[in-house]
Amino acid sequence: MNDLNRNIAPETAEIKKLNFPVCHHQTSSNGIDIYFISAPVEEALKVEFVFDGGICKQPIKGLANAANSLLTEGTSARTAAQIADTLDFYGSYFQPKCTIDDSQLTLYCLKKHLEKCLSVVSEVLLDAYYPENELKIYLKNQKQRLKVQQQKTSYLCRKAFYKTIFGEDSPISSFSESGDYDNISRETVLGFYQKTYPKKIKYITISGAVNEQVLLNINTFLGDFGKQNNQVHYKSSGDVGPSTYIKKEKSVQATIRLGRRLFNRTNEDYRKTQVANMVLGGYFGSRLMKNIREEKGLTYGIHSTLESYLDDGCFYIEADVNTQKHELAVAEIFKEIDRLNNDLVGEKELDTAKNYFLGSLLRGMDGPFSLMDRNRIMIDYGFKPDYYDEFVNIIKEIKPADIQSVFQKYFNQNSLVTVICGG
Amino acid sequence: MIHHQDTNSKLCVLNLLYKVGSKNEDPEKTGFAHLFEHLMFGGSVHVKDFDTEIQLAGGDNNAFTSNDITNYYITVPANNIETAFWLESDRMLALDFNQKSLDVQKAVVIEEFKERYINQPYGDVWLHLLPLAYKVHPYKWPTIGKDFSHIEKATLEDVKNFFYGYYAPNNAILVISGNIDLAETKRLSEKWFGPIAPRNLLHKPYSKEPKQAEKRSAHIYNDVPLDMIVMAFHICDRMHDDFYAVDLLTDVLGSGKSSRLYSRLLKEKKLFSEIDCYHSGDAEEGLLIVEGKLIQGVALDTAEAEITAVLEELKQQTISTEELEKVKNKTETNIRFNDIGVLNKAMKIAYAAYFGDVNLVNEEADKYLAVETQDIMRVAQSYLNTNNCNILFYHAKNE
Repeated sequence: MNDLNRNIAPETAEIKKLNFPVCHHQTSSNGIDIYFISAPVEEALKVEFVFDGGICKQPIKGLANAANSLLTEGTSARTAAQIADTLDFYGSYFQPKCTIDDSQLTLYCLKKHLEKCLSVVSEVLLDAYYPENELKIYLKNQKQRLKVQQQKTSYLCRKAFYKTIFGEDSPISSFSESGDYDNISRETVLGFYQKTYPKKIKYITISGAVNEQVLLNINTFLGDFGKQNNQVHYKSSGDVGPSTYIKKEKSVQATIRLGRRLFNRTNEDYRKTQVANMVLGGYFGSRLMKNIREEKGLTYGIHSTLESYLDDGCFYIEADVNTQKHELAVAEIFKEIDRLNNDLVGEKELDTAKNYFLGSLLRGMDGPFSLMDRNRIMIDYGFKPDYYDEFVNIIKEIKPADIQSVFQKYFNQNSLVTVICGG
Repeated sequence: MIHHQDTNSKLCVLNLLYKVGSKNEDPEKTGFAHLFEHLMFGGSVHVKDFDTEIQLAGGDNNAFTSNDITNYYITVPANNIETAFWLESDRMLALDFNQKSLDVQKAVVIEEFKERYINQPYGDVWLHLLPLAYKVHPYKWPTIGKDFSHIEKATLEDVKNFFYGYYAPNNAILVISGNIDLAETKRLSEKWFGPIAPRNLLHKPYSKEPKQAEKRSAHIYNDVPLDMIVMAFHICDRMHDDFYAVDLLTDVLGSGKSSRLYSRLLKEKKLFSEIDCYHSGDAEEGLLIVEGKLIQGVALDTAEAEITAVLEELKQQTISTEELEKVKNKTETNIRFNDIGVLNKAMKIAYAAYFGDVNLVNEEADKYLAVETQDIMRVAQSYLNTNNCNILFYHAKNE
């Protein structure tokens, strides 16, 4: 073993192709899209029911979430406690979730209990009752949670940042204040529910231990529903506010969010911009991590992100930094952005970012659940099946000059807003 | 070395567990095991930049430190696994000990300390709870450390001693999981780790926590928006026969909307806006914790009395077979979902091997199934006692 030379890296192979597994598709007899990925796992099944009940559709703040969260809190036949008993007895997890663009119910269960769980799903979707008492508990607890959130610099900064870049009207900046919960009544929740849930499914995904029987159960379940098409269009003034500093006394760290409103995934520059973002702050080897964390020790973590919504998008850099040194941190962030505007990124640095990106696409394919998450992006944005395979080529072809041109086009001192919350 | 093959994956994981955690620290230098984990990414004797080499190979890596272990993992496209062997073995061979890396990582860890424990409402729970519950055992300080000052004091000398005392092939468990066969795994393990000689390990003795004799409590007056109560009871260690029953007991109390604490105290009596029950998951004797945020207007001693009543009932009456079956079903679901993905599997195997029995990963489902209703009552009686209880009362600041 004396001939082992540790100075030389073992040879590595390039990722040439993903062969991205696109999920299967079926249409139920009444026109609902069913997407599924079958994997050799024992028993585990994840079923997502997607609805047109996102935050962008709510007439008043907090309503979409209330209607979604309270689906399981009682039907005309059964109480919240009885429903909880049944779902828990079958070992299932039932997760409601509202995003800006849609609302979902996700069922995690074992295949052997699927039929039983589906009958509960069916009952709550067709016949949710929203008992006054349950609504009261929910609203009170939401107000309490909000109080805790309002103590966090990260929450205050996020909220102010979205309002600054998207304006007050955008659903993305729709943060509930305590008083907003007083506007939510059983009637308003029921009204939103009626418009959104009974018989109106956008689509369904199933991943894990999917077999013929599972598909049969889902198709039977869908007999009571119909297809819902959704179109989203956000209200938004488009006004961008100024950079701000929000004072929060006694904070030992300041949260920084620095960024801009930007296009979403459908823009032809999106994937190229994702690679440029990777170089700046998308992974541990990025410029921002290397400088602000690994060189200066100003933060535990700093990241930049592209966020896409069906009708909007943004880019931001976020970090919790040493309060006394937040000015230095912001100056260094801008220095890195300037460098990427003015100088070409080195070949090795770009290769590192590209290889890491390719590896992350591969990791995203490991296991049926993360694979379905990738597929959902393609479903939601209407991408062609070769979206990810094509992505590999885009990444491979990117040159240092392409990264520079992304920065020159979209990210410079004048186009970015800074919001800071700290002591 | 343990090998687990999964030909369905395109990935391969190298997971290396070192049998050292914050419990092995000097009480005057707490937080060191975790600080050391950060230093492991600062370059080793033949590799200047650890992360870049992994990223170039399309891989990703990270690590975590607990009271008991420090666990490092690298995920790479399967055909690039040798890069992981090269890097992980090189930093076992010797780190590039340098002052600059130490200084920067001290600053980073202090920011981590602030981000997680100070700059969050209730972030300091563990800083208060552990020294209340443990008087002598090193679980009395959290993994992040007792105080910033301990981290600031760390020297390069400390770093070297720690490395040579705990980072050694004879104190490590290597798991290779993913799309790789056994022969190749053996060849690479032998090639890269084989030449590293065993080291003399440090064995700093520490004392067992004596049995708690009476209830302890502490009152915290912080800038928090809601009153909160945290009740912690000493429980058995991870390998004790009671462990599986204790784990199910926490589910009876706190898992899901039908659990006892949630359904009775949050829903029926409307005393809490959040309530939870879990255990600390330690290798040695850990804690079962009930924590809840109180609805405004509810008194802290009412909260304590009501939680205690729920616990007492479990000591007086056996739960129904349906309720037991329910928590067993939940556990079965959890196990099935956790067994997905090569990284999850590698970590689980390494942790089982840490206890000396890899087969635990295959047997755990049966061990849960074997728990009976009387076992739940018995462990409730053994552990959920007032004189075994440590309580934190958080008093909200009223504006």
